[in-house]
Amino acid sequence: MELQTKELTPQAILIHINGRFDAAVVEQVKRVWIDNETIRFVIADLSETTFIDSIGLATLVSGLKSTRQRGGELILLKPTEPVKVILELTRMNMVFKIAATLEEAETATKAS
Amino acid sequence: MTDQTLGEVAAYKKRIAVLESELDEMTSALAQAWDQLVPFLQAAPTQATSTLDIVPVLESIIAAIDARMGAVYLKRGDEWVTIPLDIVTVRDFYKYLDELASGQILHVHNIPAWHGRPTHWMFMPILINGNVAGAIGVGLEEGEREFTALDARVLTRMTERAASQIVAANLAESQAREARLAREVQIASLIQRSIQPLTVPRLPSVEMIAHWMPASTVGGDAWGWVLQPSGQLACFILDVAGKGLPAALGAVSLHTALKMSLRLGLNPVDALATVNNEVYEAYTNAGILATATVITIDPSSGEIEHANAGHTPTIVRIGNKWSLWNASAPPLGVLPTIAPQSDYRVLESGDLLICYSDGFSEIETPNGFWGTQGILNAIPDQTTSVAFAVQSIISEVENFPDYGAAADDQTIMGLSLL
Repeated sequence: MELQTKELTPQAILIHINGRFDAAVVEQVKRVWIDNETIRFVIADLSETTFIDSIGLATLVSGLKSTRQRGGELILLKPTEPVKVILELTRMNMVFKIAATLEEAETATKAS
Repeated sequence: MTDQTLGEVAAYKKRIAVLESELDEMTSALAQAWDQLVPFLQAAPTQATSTLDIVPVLESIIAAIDARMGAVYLKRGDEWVTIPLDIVTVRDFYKYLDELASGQILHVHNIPAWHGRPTHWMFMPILINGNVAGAIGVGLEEGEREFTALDARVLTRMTERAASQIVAANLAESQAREARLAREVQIASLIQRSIQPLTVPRLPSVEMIAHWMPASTVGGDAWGWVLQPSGQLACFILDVAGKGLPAALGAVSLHTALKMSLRLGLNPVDALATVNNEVYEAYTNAGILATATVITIDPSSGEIEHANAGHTPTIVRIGNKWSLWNASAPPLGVLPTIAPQSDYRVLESGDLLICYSDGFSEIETPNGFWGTQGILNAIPDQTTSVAFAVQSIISEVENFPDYGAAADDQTIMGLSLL
């Protein structure tokens, strides 16, 4: 997996998760936003995430809870079809805000 | 004697006096060094088996340098530990690792110590193959004297002398810790195995089969069954995200909670909702989640009720028609409250119902994940025995080239009416 981050504002970041989002990369992802208390808004770009397992889902949930505790939000951006299927099968699509475009995701962060 | 001779004698006497004075100073320094060296040599263990053995060494180094405080820093796995604890925070020590890699003594000022006052420190690294494996540091409060070149030399020599013992002690302690952890994992494994049912229910009208195989000594999967006060059979399958001890601990506690709630007569929806309320906060703190499917079946009528929170789809064959019963709520621990929906059916003889963990559907094959379709394809078309259906699935998995190196726990549970 390759992880790229981009600071959108001092309190908001865009993270791009390329490849598999599984146990091998969880710590790396957590360091980016969960352990950084200044981050309130996260847009997780899953447009090139080929697979997400239960540990990856648990990491997203931790990120969601962390950002909401800080008065922010975590938004999933353009999940690939395999990721979308897993989100639907596990009913996690009821939990996350999912955006089709970056503009939509940024608007959602501003609305939170 | 001539004046010249007298002058030479006086000069010699003066020179002798200087040499005597220097000899006195050297004798005194030697005595002082000896005083420092003897307790250090006595303290330095020849064979350290625990980091406790390091403490006398550290104390003698502090005494020899006449420092206020001292600490030994040791790398243990990916973590740094200090002996004694919290003299200087590990976080502060991290900052100097690159500089210490030079192998030279490092002086650092304005470090907050445990009492909150600023201190200054002198660190001597312990290197193994060019990497910093540890360090010995001695400190003074800011405003006290500065460390001298002699202090630095003493610290260097003493660190060199004690380094092998310190590293050996650290290694011995790491090995002891690993052995302790292995024992703990073994105990956790025994506990986890003890909660998995040894048998399936013996009911005249219900056939049940289950197979549980953790990917390592312990795992996050579990299954169970219980007879409810109404006479219904309740069974469940669960999967705590993650591997190893944390997942196993979560699986054991979730197994107990689900079993208790079903034993008290709750239906699948209420059991999942109630248990979710209980585990939500703990799972939030621990950063975990769990999926679960709960089923009750009335052995006399074949009526089943099914609820699925985030778990893989349940495979159901009623008559000749296959269907998937998907999750109707997110996994446990994700939301403070959940409201799963029930699926109701009446099973007839020959109908099949199979639940499985993602350790089956996420098996990687040359064509991608095995998936639910792979599981369906493994079930012989005309079989009416759920035991045969489940055994066929397991047999196919065992024939995969990488069988034995399962990436995830694998649990499967099947029900049918006789």
